[in-house]
Amino acid sequence: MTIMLIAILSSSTSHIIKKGDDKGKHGNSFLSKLYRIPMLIFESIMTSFMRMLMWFVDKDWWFKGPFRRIFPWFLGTGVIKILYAGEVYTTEETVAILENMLKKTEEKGKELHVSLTPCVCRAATNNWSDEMPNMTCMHFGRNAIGFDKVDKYTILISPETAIQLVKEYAFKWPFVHTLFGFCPSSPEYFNKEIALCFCHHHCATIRCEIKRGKNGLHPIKKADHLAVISNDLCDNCAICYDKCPFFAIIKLKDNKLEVNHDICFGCGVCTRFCPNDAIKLIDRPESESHFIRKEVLKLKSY
Amino acid sequence: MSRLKERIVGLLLVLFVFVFGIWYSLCIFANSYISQGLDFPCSNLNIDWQPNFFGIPLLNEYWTLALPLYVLILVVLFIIGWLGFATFQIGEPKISEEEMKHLKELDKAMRNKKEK
Repeated sequence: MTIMLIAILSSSTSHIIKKGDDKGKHGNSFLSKLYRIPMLIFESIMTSFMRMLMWFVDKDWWFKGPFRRIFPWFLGTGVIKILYAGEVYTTEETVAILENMLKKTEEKGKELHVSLTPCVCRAATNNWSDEMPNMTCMHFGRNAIGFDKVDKYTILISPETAIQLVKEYAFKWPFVHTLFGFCPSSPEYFNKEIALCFCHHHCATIRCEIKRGKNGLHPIKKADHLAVISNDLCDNCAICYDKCPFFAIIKLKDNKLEVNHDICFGCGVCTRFCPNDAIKLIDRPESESHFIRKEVLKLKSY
Repeated sequence: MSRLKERIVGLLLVLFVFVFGIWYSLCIFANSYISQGLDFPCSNLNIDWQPNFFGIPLLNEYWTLALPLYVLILVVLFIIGWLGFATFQIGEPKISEEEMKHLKELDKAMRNKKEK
């Protein structure tokens, strides 16, 4: 059965390599063809895991019932945080981190591989957007090439393009920049694989955060900031109210707007879209430690 | 057929879960005290078939070893089955041609800029 599975996987992925212009560079050797098999299995498992997670996220009993103190806590703090570290950054911080990553890799005389894939969360729910871009997951490091071999929709892009896309998408759509580092307990490995997602309401992490309550699933860390609305400049247009992915902005009785600091993630979406510059980001009094930024700053090699 | 490889992998996983699960359950049942309850002295229903599971002796410690292991394996099988089903029914991503074109053009422009 294993041999049959390997044979099917090898033959069914062999056509993918011929598709793009930039694909031949990395993968026509026998080893690279073999590498597709674990990557395909990994991709299937990841998509299925996301689908499973989505299923739980959509069930209210998961967050409200008697299980809310056990399973979400176990998954959120026990399992997910061992597997990966997910952290929210503002656009400026994200660009700075990526530029730093690129600079350090070039200093070593190596190439930073970046792949752009269709959103894993939307793939898990078949909930594709007609308005927003759907190619919104970036992978940096060795696995970028692996994903490129497996999925025919994945494309390899240059790191400069990745940085440009972050800047371009930031002012067109209310995306939250979430960086993921895998296996945080092992910094040697952690340094080598980083993913950047442009998250929105449909994404698993954001949906978990919206629904989690006090004891629920908490898969991503908040940014170091808090949004504050200046009443003098605000004309109550409520654009920020519509755009906030976490529903952290509340309308008061006199139509004035206020940020709920318990919910605010400091992602900076509201500041990007405010036409009057009425929203500022201030430092969060009790910030969570940000692992990715710290690790990227002392990055050794890619 | 779209997503052929996902369909094949998903189907194989689901089949594996069914075959493995049924065979393992049968082994557990045939080695349990439950099957001994069906051992009627004056009938043709005597069951003396006690297979091992791939050579692993199952039932010296039925309640303390085999049954908890059985439950654990069922949970793992359930997860694999879910994985298989999810893989089987995954749809084609809706990536518009405009988006792809824009991405490729941007990438080309950025690479050219870097080369200069």
